[in-house]
Amino acid sequence: MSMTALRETLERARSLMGQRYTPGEGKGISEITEFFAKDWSRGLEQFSDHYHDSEAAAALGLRTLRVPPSFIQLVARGPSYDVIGIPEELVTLHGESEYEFFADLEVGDTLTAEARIIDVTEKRSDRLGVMGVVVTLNEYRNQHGTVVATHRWTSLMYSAAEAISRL
Amino acid sequence: MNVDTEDGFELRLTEVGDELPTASLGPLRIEHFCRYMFACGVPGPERDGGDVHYDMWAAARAGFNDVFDMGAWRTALFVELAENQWGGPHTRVTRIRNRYGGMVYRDDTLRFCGRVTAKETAGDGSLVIDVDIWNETGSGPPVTTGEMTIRVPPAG
Repeated sequence: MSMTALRETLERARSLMGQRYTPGEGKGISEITEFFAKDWSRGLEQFSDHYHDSEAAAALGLRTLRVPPSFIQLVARGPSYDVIGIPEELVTLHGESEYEFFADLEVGDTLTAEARIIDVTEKRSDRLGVMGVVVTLNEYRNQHGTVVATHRWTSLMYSAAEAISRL
Repeated sequence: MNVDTEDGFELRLTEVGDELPTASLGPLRIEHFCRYMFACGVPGPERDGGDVHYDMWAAARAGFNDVFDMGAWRTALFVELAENQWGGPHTRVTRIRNRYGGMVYRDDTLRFCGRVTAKETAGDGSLVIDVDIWNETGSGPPVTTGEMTIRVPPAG
């Protein structure tokens, strides 16, 4: 049953290839506020002054607090799960990621994301069994329309029941 | 994150083949995972299976023995390591690619390692440095392998 669910899920993903959509619509954060910038920095164990004190950031020539570039993870929560529809019997893992950063993020920026599924395949894992591999390309723009970053996100999907049977 | 600081280390002075100062974080606690998860937003089953990172029963239902870390967290930490500890506050990571080949569980200590593979000077005088990166948790194979490109602005 779970294998059927996996194959059906991958088929839905294939049918969506090339379409553009807003990833994690309604879940993400679009405006970079000081609160979210500081909170994200703490989440990354960054406690240096220029992440938390505007004057310290200004002393380094920064216009606002330093915003970790990985803040874009907050804009698009997950790559494509909402759009594909992941049944409960499947588990998703993050298998690989590739980011490119083209411009600094600043407090006050408003970011938007657009995504498209670019590849859907299957592979076999000794540990987890048959896995679906879905690659999504997310593109992030600021309020000026400038592309500030891209994220190529490889998701792995597998049957929880099959994985447990291999423990 | 603790960095094995080398006195006088300067990223701009490194050469191809040099290993960069190793950083470590751990032993990892659920609090490490939660601090990141909460910064991401409210975690929970409705949020893309995030419960496997703090709920051991959810991790067990997914086929794992305990809660484990987040791949994107490792990558975000590598970016901050490069921009702050390896480089300075004006150093920027322009590209990073990571493959999350192994699991990192509670109580593991995560080590962040890098080796310079290429170095050139850009037209504006910046140094562009390519680095192979990997995470270790012990004696086994790396749990993460990847590459990053770092841009270091001209001195002064």
